[in-house]
Amino acid sequence: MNNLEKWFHSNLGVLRRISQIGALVLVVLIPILNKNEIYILLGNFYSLSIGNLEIADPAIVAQTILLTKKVFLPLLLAGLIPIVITLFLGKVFCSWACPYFLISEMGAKLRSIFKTPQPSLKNPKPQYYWFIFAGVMLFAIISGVPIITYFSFPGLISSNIANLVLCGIVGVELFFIFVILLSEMVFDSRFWCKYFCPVGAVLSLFLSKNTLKIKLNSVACGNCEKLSESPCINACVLNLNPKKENLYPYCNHCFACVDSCQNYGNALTITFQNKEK
Amino acid sequence: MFWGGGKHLTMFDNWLKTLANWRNPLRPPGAISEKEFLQTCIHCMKCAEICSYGSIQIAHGKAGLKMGTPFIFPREVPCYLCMECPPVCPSGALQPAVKKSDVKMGLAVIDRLKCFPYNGIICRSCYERCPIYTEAITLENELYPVVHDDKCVGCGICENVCPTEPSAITIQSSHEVI
Repeated sequence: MNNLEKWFHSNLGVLRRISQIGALVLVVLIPILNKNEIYILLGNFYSLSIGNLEIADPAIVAQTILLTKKVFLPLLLAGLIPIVITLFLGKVFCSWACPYFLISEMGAKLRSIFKTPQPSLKNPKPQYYWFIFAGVMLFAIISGVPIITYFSFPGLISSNIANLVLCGIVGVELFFIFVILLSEMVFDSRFWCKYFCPVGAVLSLFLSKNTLKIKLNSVACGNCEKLSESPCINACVLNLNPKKENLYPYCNHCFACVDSCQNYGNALTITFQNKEK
Repeated sequence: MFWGGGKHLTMFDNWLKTLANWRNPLRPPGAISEKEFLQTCIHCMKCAEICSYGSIQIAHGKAGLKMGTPFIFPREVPCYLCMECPPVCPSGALQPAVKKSDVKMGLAVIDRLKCFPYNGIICRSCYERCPIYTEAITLENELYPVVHDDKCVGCGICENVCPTEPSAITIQSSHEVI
């Protein structure tokens, strides 16, 4: 491990926060630029265009194709960009750019003041995740209502911010986000990102064996006396256990566990390799 | 009058009108049929952002499941047919129209009971401001405005400039069916 890698590993938390805030600044900046008649950047997290480059939310692309049963090539190509990123880096969009992830993280921090978080020692079965996602997709296809568009929180938040800057109006949709945030505070912190978010689910479809992932070096892992006191388990923002199986598709690739393990033997690293050591 | 006065009746009337407006929205130029539009529009707001006139507004709660989609309210700001919005649509909900005259957002309809010339007052507001000049709206006997269905694009400039209140010329959206 060279110096740059070491620096990267030990500053993951800070870098991620910078990236999240940068994404939020971008969302606010686009309508301001547009208001001043600069149109090089357009759109929001539903679909973003940088000059002639189009990027679209793959969940919405999938839904549009399933609902209209037509393929509009530019939209399909726009949806491929996040998918290619996911193939290599995993669900980094969620934890490094999504505005809801940031809000929800802050919510969880607020909750931890009143209620000590209980670290979960094992991960839920992936079947739950796919079951919920299949249900949402089936509902959309049967009813013909583009339900994912209403429940894509990154898009919803960013489009409402844009609308606030452009016309000074926000929609009632934000109330729904508020309700989810509030129930996260009351019931289970981070349940939306972990189980329900359709955007994350579509991205999860493209996690491959060679995607950037967390690797546990079981020799270096000190097992940290009591399992519930492991820094990695406590650091996980989605309340997962990075040392157990079934980490994927739930993991959102924020790498907080890797960051936290720096002073505890460096047993967790980020790698593209599939092989166990 | 059964509601206890004219005031309530107007309120009810207005409410019905709002409801009707939401049901048959005026969409930006090049929009596909309403049912497909709702499934295709991805709420990215690019059309609203690129519109330098601020014609395109984004619907919210009032519009029910249509919230997040673009609307034009011609009485507030009509479409000036700059044709900047169709090319930026990433999903094909707005099909890039070739020419201004190919746009079919709706159709202007004149209410002859309210329209000034039909009531003996000279007025050429809509005729003079129509972007499809002397084609979509012509003056019969040099006096009475008449809309030509095949030429009118439904941009709503006429509805915007009409001096009567409420407007005597209104746009009927071409998206009649939900």
